[in-house]
Amino acid sequence: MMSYIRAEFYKVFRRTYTWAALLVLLALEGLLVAGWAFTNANGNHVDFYTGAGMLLAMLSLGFYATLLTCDMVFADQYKNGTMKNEVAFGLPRSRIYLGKFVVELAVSLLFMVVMAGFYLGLCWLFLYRDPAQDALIMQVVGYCLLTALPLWIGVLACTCAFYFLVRSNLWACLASLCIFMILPTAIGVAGLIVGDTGLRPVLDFLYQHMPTIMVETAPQIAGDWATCGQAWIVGAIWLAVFTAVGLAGFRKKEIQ
Amino acid sequence: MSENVLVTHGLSRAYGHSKALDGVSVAVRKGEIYGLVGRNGAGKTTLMRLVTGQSAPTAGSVELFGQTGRELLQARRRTGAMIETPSFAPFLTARENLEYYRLQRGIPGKQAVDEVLELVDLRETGKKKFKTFSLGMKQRLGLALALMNHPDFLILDEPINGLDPEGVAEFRSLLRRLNRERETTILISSHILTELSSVATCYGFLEQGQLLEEITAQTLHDKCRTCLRLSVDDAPRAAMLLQTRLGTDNFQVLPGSVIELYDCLDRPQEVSGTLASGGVAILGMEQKSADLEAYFLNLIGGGRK
Repeated sequence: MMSYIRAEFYKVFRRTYTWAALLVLLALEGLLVAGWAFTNANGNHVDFYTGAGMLLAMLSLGFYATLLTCDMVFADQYKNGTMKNEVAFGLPRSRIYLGKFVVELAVSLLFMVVMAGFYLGLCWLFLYRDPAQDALIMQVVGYCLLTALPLWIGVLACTCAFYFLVRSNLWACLASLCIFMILPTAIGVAGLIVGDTGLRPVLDFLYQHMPTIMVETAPQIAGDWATCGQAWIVGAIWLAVFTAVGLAGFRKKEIQ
Repeated sequence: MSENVLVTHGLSRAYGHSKALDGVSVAVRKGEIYGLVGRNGAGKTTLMRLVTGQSAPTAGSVELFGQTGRELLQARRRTGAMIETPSFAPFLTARENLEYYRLQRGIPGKQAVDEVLELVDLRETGKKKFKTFSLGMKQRLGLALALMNHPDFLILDEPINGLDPEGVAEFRSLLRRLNRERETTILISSHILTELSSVATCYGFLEQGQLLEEITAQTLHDKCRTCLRLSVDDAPRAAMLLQTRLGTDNFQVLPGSVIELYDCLDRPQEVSGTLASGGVAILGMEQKSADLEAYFLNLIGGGRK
């Protein structure tokens, strides 16, 4: 397994795409902070509290980032026909699947740390600071990241499964988007349609425990560790279910 | 009895109602160069894909180095395969692609990549990405990957597609060298039957997903050798005359008063004169020679309803 993971890291970090994507994302963050710094120089007062608070509004981007990291690691293996090289050598399909997932997870975490660190660093350097307020917002950011992390991992498992099961990357992305973006809306709408029937509490429960909904509500309930714990349970369920489905499907998949 | 490297037992693969492979049982012995011969869609690639685990059989089983079931994965580590078009990450160079697979397969020593690049003459490709490679270069890289782990069994599907004449000749000699020096067993398919016949020691003929015949190169050679095909009115008398007057028994009497004579090929007049003077009427005489292609065409022609 270690050899496999090492090779995947080698491939990912040899891709210009990986570095270009990181550079573009960091540049966008830089642009945002530079904009604030510019307005501050012209009489505005954007402080670290506001800047770091923006991070909370961007937590949902973590779900979309799973599409990017899966694409980086999977590297169009079906389109390029390279999966056969791995299977024909006798590598167990479970190793291929889990190896890629581990690397996707590691790359995602690395991107998250670098991007969050870079953004907060810029805000710290270029925006107004108030130690008491800054400590408060950092606690909220820490809580939200801790709550969002398992949910991102759960959705990453979902996206990874679709990349393995669907030949086209585009369709894999769309399928994953349907699950983590459209499904919660569909459940919410279904809840409204069924009205006050026995099904309503079930749909409400499901809706409230969808990863995207949990992440959106996390900043409002910062410090609620029970919800954070629930997020870890939901993330673990998504991880287990989608990994099991992805693995089972990939084991039977015909490799072209 | 020599050890079998690959044995398939009634291997079948169906796609819907269409059978790509239908109960194929082949045996490839250690040290053989086994040529798979068949038309497009005959099942050659499907057979190779089943052997390499890219596809699962709908019936039958594969035995590699005596291993079946879960042990097959381990046995596949002793193989090298190039099936259909060689495929690599387009954004990596030849060296980077091989390094990726070297790491993935746990092959020790970075020099393994250089050695194999040298072997297929791709050492000087530098920073050229795979996506800009010519078909011939891609084939060479595919071969390099198949050889990187020093396999005991090579599975090659149409490996000379896209190679220039010099490349084909080098490839042929490489296969022979691997077979001779490393005792690498090779399963190879090619549409270019003249090339196949210059390296194969055994053949399997596939048609419409079924194995029509397995035959050694020696037997094929015997069946295909050049002869004088005589059609006569009295075959027993003609045979006697050939033995007594021309002193040869290197011939075969076939049904329909046909004799295939493998001697005196440069003296047809003497043969006809001898038979005529002995009272045998010659109804027809032709020089016949068959090669792998003719044999194959004859075989599938015979197999057709």
